[in-house]
Amino acid sequence: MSLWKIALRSIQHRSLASSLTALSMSLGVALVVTVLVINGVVSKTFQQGAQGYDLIVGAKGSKLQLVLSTVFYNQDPLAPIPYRYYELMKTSRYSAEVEAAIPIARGDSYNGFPVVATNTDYFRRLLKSDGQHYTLHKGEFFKNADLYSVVVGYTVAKKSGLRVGDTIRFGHTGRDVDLHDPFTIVGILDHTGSPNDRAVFVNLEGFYKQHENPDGTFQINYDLVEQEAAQKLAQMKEQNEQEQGHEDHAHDAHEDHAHDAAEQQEGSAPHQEQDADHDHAAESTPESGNPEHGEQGHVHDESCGHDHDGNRRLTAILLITREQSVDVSGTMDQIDALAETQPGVAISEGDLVTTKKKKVYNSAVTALPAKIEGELLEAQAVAPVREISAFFQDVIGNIQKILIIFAIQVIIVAGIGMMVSIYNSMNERRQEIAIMRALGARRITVMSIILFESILLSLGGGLLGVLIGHGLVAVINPWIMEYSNVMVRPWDFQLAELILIPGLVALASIVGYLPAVIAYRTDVAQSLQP
Amino acid sequence: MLELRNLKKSYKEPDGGELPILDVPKWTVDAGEQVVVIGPSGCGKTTLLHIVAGILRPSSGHVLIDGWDTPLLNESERDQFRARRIGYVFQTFNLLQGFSALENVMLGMAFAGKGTDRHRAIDLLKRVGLGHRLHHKPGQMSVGEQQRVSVARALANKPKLVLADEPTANVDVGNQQLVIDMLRNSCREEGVALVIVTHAPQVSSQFDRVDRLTDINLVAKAKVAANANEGL
Repeated sequence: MSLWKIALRSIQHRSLASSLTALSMSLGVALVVTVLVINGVVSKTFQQGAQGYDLIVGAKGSKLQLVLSTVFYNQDPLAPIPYRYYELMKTSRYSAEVEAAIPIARGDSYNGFPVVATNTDYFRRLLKSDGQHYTLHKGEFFKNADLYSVVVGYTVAKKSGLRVGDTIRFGHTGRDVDLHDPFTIVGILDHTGSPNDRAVFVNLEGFYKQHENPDGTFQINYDLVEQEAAQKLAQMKEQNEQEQGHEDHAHDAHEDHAHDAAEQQEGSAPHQEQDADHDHAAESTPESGNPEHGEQGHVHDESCGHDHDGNRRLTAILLITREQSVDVSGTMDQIDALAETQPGVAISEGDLVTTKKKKVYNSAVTALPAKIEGELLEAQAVAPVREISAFFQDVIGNIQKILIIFAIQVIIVAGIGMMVSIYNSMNERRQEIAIMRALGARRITVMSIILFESILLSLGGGLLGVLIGHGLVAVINPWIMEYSNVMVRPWDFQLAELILIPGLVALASIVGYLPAVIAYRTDVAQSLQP
Repeated sequence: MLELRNLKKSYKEPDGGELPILDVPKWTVDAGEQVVVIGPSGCGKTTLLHIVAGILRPSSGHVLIDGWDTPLLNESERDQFRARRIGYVFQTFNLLQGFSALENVMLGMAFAGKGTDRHRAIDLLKRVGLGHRLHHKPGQMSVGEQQRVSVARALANKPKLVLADEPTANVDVGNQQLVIDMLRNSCREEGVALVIVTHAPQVSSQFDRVDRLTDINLVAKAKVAANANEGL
């Protein structure tokens, strides 16, 4: 019979008091577990949500809103940007940095689920968080030629009872009524555990068809936001013009087009436009920096093939950037500092050991946003991982820290309660301890038994707390899903939960110490008196 | 097997003085011998057993058990010595309430550090007539049965000496003889020396050797003499 079993028997003998003590401990642990699980899953989901692409190009405004609306669909999209920006990203002007560009247009919803208009590249080029391509639960991906085809996320299909072959009608968000022609479901995505489970992917061309007037003009319901955006844009352009008016414009228009991004930023758009000899208008004048050359008055170069797109708008362009390698030498600290200050830069660890030089991959990500924002005055380019990390650390991280601190306090209070409970039981247990001593148990043995009791109570309460915590996650999961598009599954186990085990053992040892000392000091002869 | 030599025990009094309890010049028990020690209340019977068991340390003198002078051992060594070589039967049984009869017997084995022998524990309980009560807890057994469990527990580690402190004091009359028989027979079968402290004549009358503590213990002897003088 081990000391653990003896301790367990003592606990069982005081089942009611022991249960209440363990229960109080379990509540604290349940809180910690709930926070850890939600923290872990939300963190993972946020970090994974943007995987598959490196940059989001969208309208100027809140970077965070652009990311949240594009990646998680839980914010309204910013003002739209011209479709020609997307086409521009596919030209040789950006070919050195951009591997693929994927258009996104939002604004509609089906049954409360966001409608994401895109093309086949979304499924063909983007990879999920596990590095795999999107796969289908049933059916097939739509083709660009299938205008009225739609692929729905797993949750959408499940919750709405949709099957391949069904038709759905969707409308503008907020007026979720049947405004458009029916679209046919051709595929249902496999479960991804990402916000895409709750999205409806429609063919971008079909989406545009639904928003075009019979006369060919484009009337997506962005008028109001666009007016506001236009006003802001005009102000920015004015400010930009004033600043540029003071700069030296001696820019050589015939310079090599492979000039780096910093040079492109310095080059002024008006100069480039005035260069009559330039052989590729789309590359040299991607966007007018001239206030008079605003959205309404913009005339596209036909050679770019933009004309037919007219007033088409996108809410975002997802960019997969090319990997570029740049040798960087310096001390370890310098290189590490570079990696920290340059978001989107990945360091090759392999070169580090032998040469103390690192290759900086994807360095275009650092320069590309500046290039895009310099050339496309209506747009900004945002690295989603950076924004999400900042958002997570600044807002969610702090809230979770507070919750964890609060939960730890609850555990400590429960621990003190446990100490009081065991301490109070020591009076009635003096004889029990004396009997053990009389049977030959050493002082350290009875002290160990009391400590083991404390540890067993803590671990029992902890185990119960873990179960309650995960149960709590299951209960609040629908609520989290509803408001954040983040799926938190009750069985999502966090490695941080393992810290609870040594933590509880340490806490139990501390709170069990005082009663254990009392056991240690028990006067056997006196306590054996009948 | 057991020899007390010049054994003295006294307690500190609140005023700083010494209160003598025991003064035993010499007292011996042979291996396998069964001895009853009788005496009036307060003459130091329980203190004597506690010192022999190593629960208390004498103020001076020697307690030789199987060649070991136990007061010279440190507390931890005395605990181990007690667990392995001495069995103890208490007046109030002192079974642990949360443990079954079998577990109470095995508990003594656990503290001896030699591992628990479940088969021996079951065998001992069967020998005291409790083969059908192995998994009952003390609260589910009669006082007679509880004392029989206590007897089995005392013999669990094959001790050299069993000390029994008023083993029948809390047992009903019907079970008193049964408990004494169990103790005597079990100790005889195991070849264990038995020292019973009691003030019950019906118990002491059954033993060949009955020692009066008032004869062994000079302090008790003096007290009896003083009382007698006061009576005169």
